Amino acid sequence: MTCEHCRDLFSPLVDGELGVDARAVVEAHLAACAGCREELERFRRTVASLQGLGPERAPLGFVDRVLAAAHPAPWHRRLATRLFRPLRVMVPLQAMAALLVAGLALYVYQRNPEMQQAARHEAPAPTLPPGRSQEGAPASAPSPGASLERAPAPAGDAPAPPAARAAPEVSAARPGAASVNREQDSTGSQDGKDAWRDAAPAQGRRAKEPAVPSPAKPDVGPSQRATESKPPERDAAALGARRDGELIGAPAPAPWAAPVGPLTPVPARPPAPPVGTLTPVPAAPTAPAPVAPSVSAPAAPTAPPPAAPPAPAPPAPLAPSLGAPPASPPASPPADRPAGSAKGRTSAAAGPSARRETAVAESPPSAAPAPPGPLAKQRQEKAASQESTLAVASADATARLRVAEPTAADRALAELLRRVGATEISRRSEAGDTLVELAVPGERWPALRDGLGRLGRLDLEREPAQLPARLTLRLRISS
Amino acid sequence: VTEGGFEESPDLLDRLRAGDAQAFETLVSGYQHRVFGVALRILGNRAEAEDVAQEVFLRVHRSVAAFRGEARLSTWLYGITSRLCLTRLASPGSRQARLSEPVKDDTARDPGDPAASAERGELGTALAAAIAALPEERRIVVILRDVEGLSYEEIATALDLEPGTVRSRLHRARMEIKDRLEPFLT
Repeated sequence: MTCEHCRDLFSPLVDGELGVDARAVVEAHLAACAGCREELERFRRTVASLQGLGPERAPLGFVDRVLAAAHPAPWHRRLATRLFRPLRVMVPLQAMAALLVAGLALYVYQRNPEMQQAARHEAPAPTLPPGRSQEGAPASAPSPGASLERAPAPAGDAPAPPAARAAPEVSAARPGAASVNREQDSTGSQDGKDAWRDAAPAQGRRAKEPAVPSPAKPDVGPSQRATESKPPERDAAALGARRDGELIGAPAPAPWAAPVGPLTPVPARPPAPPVGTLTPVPAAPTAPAPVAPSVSAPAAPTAPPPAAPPAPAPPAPLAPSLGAPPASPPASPPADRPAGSAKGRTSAAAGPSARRETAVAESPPSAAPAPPGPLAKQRQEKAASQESTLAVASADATARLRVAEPTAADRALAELLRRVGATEISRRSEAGDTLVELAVPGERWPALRDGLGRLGRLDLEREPAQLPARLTLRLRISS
Repeated sequence: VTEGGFEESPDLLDRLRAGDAQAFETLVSGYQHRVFGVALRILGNRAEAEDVAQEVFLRVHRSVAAFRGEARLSTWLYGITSRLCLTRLASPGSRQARLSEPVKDDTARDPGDPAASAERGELGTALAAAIAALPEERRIVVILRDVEGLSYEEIATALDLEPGTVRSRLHRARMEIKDRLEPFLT
């Protein structure tokens, strides 16, 4: 064995991997070779040094990191982390998105007048006279009379459609008209849904009546309208007829068309036919428009007070009436109000009372009311209490009837009303009493008063000095 | 089975195959220092060694179900570590990082005799430098054999080499180290 061959076997020799025979040969050579023995000694020390190397230690937290990497969090936790962990980024982003959406909505709202109109319709109108809330009821229930009434309107009068189209400009251009428009908005549409529902037929109607020129400018202001040379009663009659038609006709005009529509047909319109029989809406006793008191009264078939005096109502008061707050209380007691003076009143001052009168006049008990739709019925019921309150407050006469037996008194009262031709307008309970509003022809008032006196103890608190053609009585029945 | 102070339970492999998280934690805790040490001695860079060691255990976690168990679990771990280290050494970025960090041997720290400690410190540094100077294939073999204590057969299995190749590589590695340590061996 050579020294080179011997040194090649140092590793197996040191590691004990050398066979017995090879080991014997190597040991024999080492015994005879001092150089190989020294080399083997250095080799052993080298291996010993290698094997003496201390163990390295993994860094702290190594196990946790490996486990975290090997067992990631559940998907929902990772998702939540991704979504919400960078709150510094996500919160401002979400806030900016919300602001952007709000800004866009506001921008679109401001740029689109129809949306503003709709918002106005949908918003509750605090100044809305309660009676007007019933206006939409007949609109959804067309009556044949209404269509008959409406038929001549476009032919002879200024057509409502152009005025209706101009209505938004009116409200935008003139403050006075704006008030009218606002009132009409709140009046013509009891709720936004009806307004929108009715808007489509109205627009369709306008499309069908485009050829009729409008003698009255759509943007005519209240004062301008008031100075028109047409007799007010004719004006009122025409307006009333038109208004009735709009009230009762199936296609109610768009809410923004209401203010100007009734006013435009004034010049050429012939005296309105008695529409009372054609507007059988006892449940909708209120005039819808601010000018309704002066409008619908002459149209009543039962000789309503406004129709009696031929003297035209002064137009000047009409103008402020359009801008006056509709919810202001009646200015004058019914006793001081002559029948014809209702025309000269401002609609706001005479508002509920006049409307009540009008409604009473236009809705005789014998007239068959057009069946209101479900929606209209709900609105009627909803506004019934407020309606009665305002109407009763403006009654021509007030009385208190104390009876021993309320049930029997009710039956007797019904018989009495039938006998004298009176009508029960509303009834409600108040503080244990029954508050009844009655309407009776003026000439039958003594009979009614005497009859009531026979039912119980009657205290007449207020009585009209001059009997109107139709008298309203507020009667409180207590036991 | 005892492996460097770690008591490897007989059913550890079965539990690992069953996806037992506790078994995996036991495996990582028991082999972390050895796997990291091998990687550090091969790569010469602690950060890279930690990355490789973590990747070793993740691979074990992912593929333990496919491990047939023909070799010891530690042998399988060393094989994965060696291959990953060779792959890492082949990347240029890793080589640059390795060259920027000189290899030091922690065995030089000895609170005993200062003179002996200094001598051992010098020897340790020289030894670490000698190991680092070895070709990678020889370095791995000498580390697995002399530092980690694997048998020739285990090294051949881990590195998928013939036993004769392991023997020759080991011998050459040792001889080269001996030559580099000649000043400390006289």
